[in-house]
Amino acid sequence: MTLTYPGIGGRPEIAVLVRCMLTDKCYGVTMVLDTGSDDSCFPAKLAEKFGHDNLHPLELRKDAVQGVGGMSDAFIHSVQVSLLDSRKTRANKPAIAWTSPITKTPFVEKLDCAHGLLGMDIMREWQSIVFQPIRKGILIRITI
Amino acid sequence: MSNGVTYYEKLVRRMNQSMAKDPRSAMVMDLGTFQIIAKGATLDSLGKKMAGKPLENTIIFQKPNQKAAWIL
Repeated sequence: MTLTYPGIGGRPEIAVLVRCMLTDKCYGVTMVLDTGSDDSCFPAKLAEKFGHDNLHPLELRKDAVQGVGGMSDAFIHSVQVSLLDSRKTRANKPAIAWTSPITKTPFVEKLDCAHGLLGMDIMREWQSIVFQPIRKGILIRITI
Repeated sequence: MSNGVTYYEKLVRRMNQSMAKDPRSAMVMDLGTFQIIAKGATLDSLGKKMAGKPLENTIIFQKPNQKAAWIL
């Protein structure tokens, strides 16, 4: 199955659904398709949105990640990323086309933005991904 | 959705319009009505405005900082 998404803001950025494994609640968030990132991640400040506490001593595992900005602390939380079916999704009724098997995701302290990075750990589960430049931005085709 | 435009395409269009209108803010949009529920200059200030409010069926987004370079 091939899913087609118009890139948000003319960039390789898509809206995804993130499920908190602790509360089973789902939230919408945008993620940049970042083939240069080994692991998918979110800004640490977004953890609260998913109902997580970066200071919780029991549910938290701290780790370190390295990126363009150097080393950073990261908080590992239990969330799962799902791709929306862009044709079947309706208002108040998201249609999930695919769910990542990865359930532990770092929330990086130094990542200072409002979107996550969807990295190769998730992308390597797909058959293919195509970025097609168009007049008004970019079309993203993901075959799962 | 009418005119062959899917809900997802309409969502992206509304997000793009909101980012163009308010390029410096992080925003939370209701996925049903496309209304901006809250906005803030940073994720911190947005978080304070959203404290205690239900976040299901919303999406958070922000126009990227043009000074930041993204390596893909």
